[in-house]
Amino acid sequence: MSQTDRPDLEARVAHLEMMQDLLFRLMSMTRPLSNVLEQFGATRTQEQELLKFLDELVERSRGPERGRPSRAHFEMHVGEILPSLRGNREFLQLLMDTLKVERPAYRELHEYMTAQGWTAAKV
Amino acid sequence: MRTDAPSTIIDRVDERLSELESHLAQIEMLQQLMLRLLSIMHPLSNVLSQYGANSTQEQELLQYLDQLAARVHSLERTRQPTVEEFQDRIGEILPALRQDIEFMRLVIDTLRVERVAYRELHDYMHAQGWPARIAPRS
Repeated sequence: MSQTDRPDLEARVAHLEMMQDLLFRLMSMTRPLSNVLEQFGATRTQEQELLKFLDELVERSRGPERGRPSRAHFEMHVGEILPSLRGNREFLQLLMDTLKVERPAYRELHEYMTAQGWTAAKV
Repeated sequence: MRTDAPSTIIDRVDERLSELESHLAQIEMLQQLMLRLLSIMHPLSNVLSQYGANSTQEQELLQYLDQLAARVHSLERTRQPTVEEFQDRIGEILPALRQDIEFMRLVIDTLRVERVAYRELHDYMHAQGWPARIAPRS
């Protein structure tokens, strides 16, 4: 591969990034989190409860450091809301991953989780 | 030893670039698949629903886009769609979104991943620089 191929690679990556942004925006409008929860057997009440909990997490992640949520707190509350999925690592990982393609507030929460190492670490 | 070093570095760079090229091709293939799957999930309808459009408004907008798609091929310059007309018509169909520039840009972007019939319209809009030319209208 020669040096002249580099601009081509850069253009292709830029195009991929642009299309990915669009895909994320469009996907966020299909309520992916609700679909995931439905797929894992959550009821509407559980879904509402979980969304309320996530909203609280968004607020707390924006607040003072001492009040910011921890991974253990997240895992414990998700387990309380969805007892049948307690300790289900695949579900917890998917839940966190899905926040990345959800509405902007949840994307921000996903960034917080990633920065804290929640998504990379074993939950 | 010193004379060998530069070529070794170049070899390593070439090797790494080839690896990246191969990864990139794989990601492009996956993205194409996602786009194809997304296009059959009515993305424009999802966008309109998210922005509060009702079924009548959605049908009216789709009908208007069909007209635009047909007019793109018109040989008469005056019949070809303009961004001003597009904005005015969208504002008529969806009065609550008349001044929402982000929404109008998102409609244009979404046409790119919609069914094939709208993709040509999207290309026309982009070639004419519509996304950048959309501005608040009185």
